Amino acid sequence: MKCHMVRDRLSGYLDGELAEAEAALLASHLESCALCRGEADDLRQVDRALRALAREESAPEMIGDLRQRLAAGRPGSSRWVWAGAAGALAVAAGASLLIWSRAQPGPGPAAPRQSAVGSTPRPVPPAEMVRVPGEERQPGEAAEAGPSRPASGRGGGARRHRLHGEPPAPTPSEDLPGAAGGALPALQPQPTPAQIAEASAGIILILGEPQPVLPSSRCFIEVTRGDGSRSSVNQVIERDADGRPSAVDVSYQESGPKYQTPSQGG
Amino acid sequence: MANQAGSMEAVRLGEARPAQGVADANLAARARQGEAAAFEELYARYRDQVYGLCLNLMGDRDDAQDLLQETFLRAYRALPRFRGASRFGTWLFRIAVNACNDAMRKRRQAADPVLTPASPDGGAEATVARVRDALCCLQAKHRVVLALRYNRSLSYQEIAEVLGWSLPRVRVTIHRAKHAFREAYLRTDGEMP
Repeated sequence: MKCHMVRDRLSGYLDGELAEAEAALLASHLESCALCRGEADDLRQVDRALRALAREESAPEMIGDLRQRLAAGRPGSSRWVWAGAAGALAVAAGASLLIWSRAQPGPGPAAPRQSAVGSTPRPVPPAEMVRVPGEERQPGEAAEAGPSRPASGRGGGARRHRLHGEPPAPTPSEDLPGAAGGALPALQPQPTPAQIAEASAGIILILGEPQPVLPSSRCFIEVTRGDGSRSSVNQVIERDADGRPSAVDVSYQESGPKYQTPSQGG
Repeated sequence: MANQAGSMEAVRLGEARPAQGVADANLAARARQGEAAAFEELYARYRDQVYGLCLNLMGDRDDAQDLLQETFLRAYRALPRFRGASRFGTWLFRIAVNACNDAMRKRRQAADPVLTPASPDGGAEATVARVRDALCCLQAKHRVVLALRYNRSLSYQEIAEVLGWSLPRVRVTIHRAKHAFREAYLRTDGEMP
């Protein structure tokens, strides 16, 4: 063992912290090396001096003071814990408010929302539900499964037509980060044929995915192609008391220059 | 198993009232559930050790007294988070070291780095005072490892647990701390004991 290795380990050796074999090697070196032995002696002096620290110092009796200070807070009830709880409550309240505000129908599209998923679906003229190609989707829209989420007047809203052709109304939640523009809206709770789209067509509008607990629901899809022709699917699902589909009615319609006579399917 | 570990802790780390038989972990669990007597027993077991550690780290009895209380207050508040994964003594000493570090930081910010020797008169007292004086000239990490090593005779492994360091780091730091202490002691006193 070389001197520098011995010196690095001298403290551990004197403190009895080395493994037996290593300590034996080191002891053997110390017998033959005066320099390392001298350093060991220095460290022994340090050891003797520092042992003075082990002299027991009795702490002053302060249990009374400590009791008083402890009485201010039980375990787990410090002000920081309460502050954390208050913060969590505030976040929860904020989230609830946000969800509530997003769930509220806007002044314009409120009625269509009710009718679109209601038990008595009405025929919807396809022309009323057209999203213009290239139109930006509003923030948060992808997460919104409702059939007629209130529309914003920004991002091409002037060219958008909603169920009743009413002007779009801004909602408090519109500035929140949401879906990227142009992405397909997410459907809840299950995908429908609405996701079928012709890439060359350009316009897809998906309205409404049934809530299983509702007695009936409707899904309407319309595709407008580049040549001006349109295809639409209107699906109505009736459900029994257990929420199971009891009747499904799907109508398919095409119009435009290519289609002089609409066909029915389902 | 936990009780056994706790008993060992009381002998090894605490060296405090092992004859009383109740393991630290047991007392900590009872204190966590609000039993004041259990916490007071822990206080009685570790009071002197924590005070000595704080005194050696801070070099001042008033500071040590404040930090003794601060340590137990912090421990009391943190009890709900103490699950017995480490030994109670290790956990408590870590709190004490952190409290002392915070106090030292405040002291530095207040531009009051001069530490008063705890007890400058008398033979043994004078030696202790000189040792503490030299300790206070060291870097904080050197002061801490020496205080833990010599104040409570903690093993390197226990020091590693208290500080959350690796064993090699403790070994190297203690070695360097001893050399630094020797230089500081020779500067203040001129002669090693």
